[in-house]
Amino acid sequence: MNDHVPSLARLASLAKQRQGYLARLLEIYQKHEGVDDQQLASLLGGEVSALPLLALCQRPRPTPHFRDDIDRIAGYVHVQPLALARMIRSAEAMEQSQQNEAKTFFLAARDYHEEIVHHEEHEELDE
Amino acid sequence: MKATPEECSWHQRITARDDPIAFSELAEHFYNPLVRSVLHKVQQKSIQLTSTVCVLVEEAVGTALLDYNEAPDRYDPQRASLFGYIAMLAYSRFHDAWKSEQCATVKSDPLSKLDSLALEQLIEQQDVDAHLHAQELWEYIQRELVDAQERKVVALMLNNIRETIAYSQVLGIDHLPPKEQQKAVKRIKERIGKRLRRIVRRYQQ
Repeated sequence: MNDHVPSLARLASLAKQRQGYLARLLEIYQKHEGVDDQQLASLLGGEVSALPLLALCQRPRPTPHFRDDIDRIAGYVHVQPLALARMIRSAEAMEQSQQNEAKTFFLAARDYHEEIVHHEEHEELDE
Repeated sequence: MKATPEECSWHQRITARDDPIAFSELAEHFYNPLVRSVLHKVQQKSIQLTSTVCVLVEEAVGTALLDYNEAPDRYDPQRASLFGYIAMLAYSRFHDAWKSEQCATVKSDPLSKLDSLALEQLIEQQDVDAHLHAQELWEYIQRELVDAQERKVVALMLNNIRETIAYSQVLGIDHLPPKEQQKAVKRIKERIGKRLRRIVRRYQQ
């Protein structure tokens, strides 16, 4: 096993679980748009081999830093800044909508649970 | 050993929190040497470098790097080199993961032979009988688990895949926030683990 070749892709994969990295946004975008690594790389005008490095970048800070951060990231991984900015904005919107959906789901589940408890308490009182 | 001037400069970039590529560059620079360094240390401890061990080491190095990036203030450049600090964190993470893998195997009760590490080690040792036994057991498990999704989860568990995202994708919950995914995956792995033990018990009878 001495010939084991480490892969940054594994680190990029771990970064999906953490806040603040582009890894999560890339994943959301790929899932939502149904694009594989090759397609994502060509969409951004870059190379597949650069995707793990892109994933390990921090999310760009909000305006007024957004544009500078995008340029910095795009220059580092050699992708088109405009395409990168569009992809990130779309992924952020998708992420927001997923979070809203999850919130709605959990609130509905909580309401349902409360309704059941309420119903059971009433039944007990009736008895 | 204190941090080198180059390491101090990395550390300053990370702590400044104003450079979106700082961590990626740090990882690009340090990741492979860190993995090699930890693998070397693991080998010195007479632990066989199976593919599982290599994966555990990579996960440990990755976790250590991410942990450092999230709390860089815990590192003191006056006390240790940055490389040494992250390598130490990584080895400690590896050690914990390795110990829990070992515990799961050693506790045995033959049921924990099902542990992926044990199965893989049996195969890597090229013990033909054991390999056949593992193969036969795996086929039995597949027959017992009717649900395709459960079979996929078991395959991930037996292949010692630890990333939550892999399980989330199989379970179709990868759209949920990471913490929700972790909770759901943990619950399902525990449930399937219990089921597996029952299946193995039946197999052994």
